[in-house]
Amino acid sequence: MKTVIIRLSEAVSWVVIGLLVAVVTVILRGSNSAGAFDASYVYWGMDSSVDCGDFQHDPVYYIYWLNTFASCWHEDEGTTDAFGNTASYSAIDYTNSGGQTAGTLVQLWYTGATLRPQFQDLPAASGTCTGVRVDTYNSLGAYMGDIHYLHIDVYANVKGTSWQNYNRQWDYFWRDLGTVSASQPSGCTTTGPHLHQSANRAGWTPIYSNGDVNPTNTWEHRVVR
Amino acid sequence: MDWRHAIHVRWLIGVAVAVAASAITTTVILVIAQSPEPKSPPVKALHPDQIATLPSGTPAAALQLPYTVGRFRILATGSVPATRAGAEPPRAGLKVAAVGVVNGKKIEECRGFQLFVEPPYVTSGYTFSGCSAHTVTWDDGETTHITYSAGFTQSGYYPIGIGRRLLAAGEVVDVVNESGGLFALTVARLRGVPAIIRHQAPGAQVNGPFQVSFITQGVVTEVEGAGIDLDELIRAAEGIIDATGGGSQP
Repeated sequence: MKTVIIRLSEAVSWVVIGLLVAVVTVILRGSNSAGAFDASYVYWGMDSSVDCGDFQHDPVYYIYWLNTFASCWHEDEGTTDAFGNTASYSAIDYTNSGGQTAGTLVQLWYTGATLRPQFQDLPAASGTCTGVRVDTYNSLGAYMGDIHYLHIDVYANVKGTSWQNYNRQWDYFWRDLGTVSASQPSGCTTTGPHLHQSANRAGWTPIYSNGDVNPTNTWEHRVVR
Repeated sequence: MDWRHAIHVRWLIGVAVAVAASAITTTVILVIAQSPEPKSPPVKALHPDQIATLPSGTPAAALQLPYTVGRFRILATGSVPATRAGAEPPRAGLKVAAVGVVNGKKIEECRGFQLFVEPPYVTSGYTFSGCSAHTVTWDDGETTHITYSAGFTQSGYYPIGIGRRLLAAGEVVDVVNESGGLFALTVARLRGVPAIIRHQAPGAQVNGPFQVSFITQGVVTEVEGAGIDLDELIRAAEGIIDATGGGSQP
């Protein structure tokens, strides 16, 4: 009996060691698999800090995660997408950590599979806020949902253009969209200069929020091809 | 088997158990972490190569731009649309006290919204999925709804959306033409009301999103859908035009 107990103790010890190794492996590895080409990874739209401490910029929000990073994620914009679906956008607000935010360059940039974006006006659900809506498509021309950059002054040559107007180096794509606005028109739900970046993660889109995966990564949304 | 050999075998088994536990646990953690939440892709929607309908009307490509029709102004590709006007107070002198958002999950909750509209026609199988509105509260306590959005969904299809926005007096809605891309604009008249239809460019293969926009009673309305025959969106738009009093006061 004593021998059996000893053997079982040894086995449990080895399993525990294995579990510890697994946890360390996961921590060291992280979950950033941006090199894979079965998906696109949309990164932060400006060189910034993530502003999520006090929710002061977007009064209406919905918290996904209950830790420091994930509490950045919120859903507002009327909590609808262009189709009127409720609570389908997930967003993060960005500000500059080292100076004023207004006037900061905002870019759509991503790596991985090509998004074939189309740059459009924001939907009516965005109210009077300024910004740009980026419709995305797969290689077959099928609509995959949209990404929003709110509270920015959009450059004149952006809206109405398409994926051809893009910069590319290897598998990195980017486009300058505009700069963070100093102020917003009356009726826009904002209280200070910042970039509000979001994407439609409704049930029908292949877009996933990093808030559901690993909020510490600097990519914000994943678009599965 | 001497005692050294026995210890060696036990160590090997132990290491194997640890490696197995580690591998299984790592895989499970990563799969859980990487797996997106379950989704219902629009597998029944029309594919890009199945979208053939082009709307009746005048292609924007055939117009001298800028072109004004009703309160719409179509601008050349690359133009900068005018900034949307802010909300107008119901009486002069009032100031914005707060802005916000209200939501409804059932259509009964949405009927009280100021820009609510119930489309008389929506493609068969679609059901109401919710609504929301942006609000402005003035310093005398009154509230103005400046937008309204509603969705209709059907499993396996893209949603159909209705977006509405209150226009300021005299506000013109700028629409930037899209040339050389996947989409094109057509100026049409629906029930006698000017409408701008965004659809696939002739020969292009893309399944949306398509939009039908029109202005009735000082509100611009956009009916949007993807992977759906354009006629379905036009028919929904015509129903809303009828329901909102047509274009008697554009």
